Amino acid sequence: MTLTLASRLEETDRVAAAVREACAGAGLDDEACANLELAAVEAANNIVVHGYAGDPAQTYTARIAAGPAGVRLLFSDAGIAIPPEALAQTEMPDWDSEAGRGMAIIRACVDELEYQCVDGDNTLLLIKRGSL
Amino acid sequence: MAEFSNSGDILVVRLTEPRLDAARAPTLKAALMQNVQDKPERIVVDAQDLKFMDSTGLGVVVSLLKMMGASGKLGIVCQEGSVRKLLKITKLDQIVRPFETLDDAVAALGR
Repeated sequence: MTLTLASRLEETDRVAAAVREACAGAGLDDEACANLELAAVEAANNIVVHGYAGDPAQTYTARIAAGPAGVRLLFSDAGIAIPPEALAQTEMPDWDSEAGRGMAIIRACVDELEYQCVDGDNTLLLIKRGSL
Repeated sequence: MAEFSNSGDILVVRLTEPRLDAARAPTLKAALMQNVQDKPERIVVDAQDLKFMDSTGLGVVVSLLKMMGASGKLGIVCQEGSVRKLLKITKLDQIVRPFETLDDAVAALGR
């Protein structure tokens, strides 16, 4: 399944629904499904807010593949690349920070994360494995 | 998005929608800024109907914590599931205490 999404925060509902459907199809348990849904929404938020700086005229895609091995979710966009220090984030910010937890949450919720920026095209692959 | 009431001297903020994400968080934050005044010492967020919250929604909960007095106590009512997991991942469950029921939260914060 491939979704083409406008760069608007409201569109993340479509990503979440598609991820839940794929997770159910792949037989992931409720916790794994919830984790991947959260990671997917955080990744989509990052593209809209940071990658495209809130420009609603831009678009990005989410390709979702489900199988016995789990669910693969590939985001593609042409916005500003994720800075290396942000991509590497695993620690949570101080408790009183109202933002800045997204990447650390993504990393905590998926089994694999791969990111590439080639000639201005960004891809973020998130994998949640099944229990096989 | 939110309903406000009091249980004794505890402010109860009931979240009425199933999702609190980056698209919806600004509406909740505006409601909190309008309704949470005079630095309350005890607040319970009743999130029993909340099925999904992302980091932006969590940021609004943090902002609520910062609206409280210095010795303020904030509890959140949520079942086992994604909301409680988010609190745990972010370690905010050490500051925003989760409860199973509203009665449990009111009883604990009312002491």
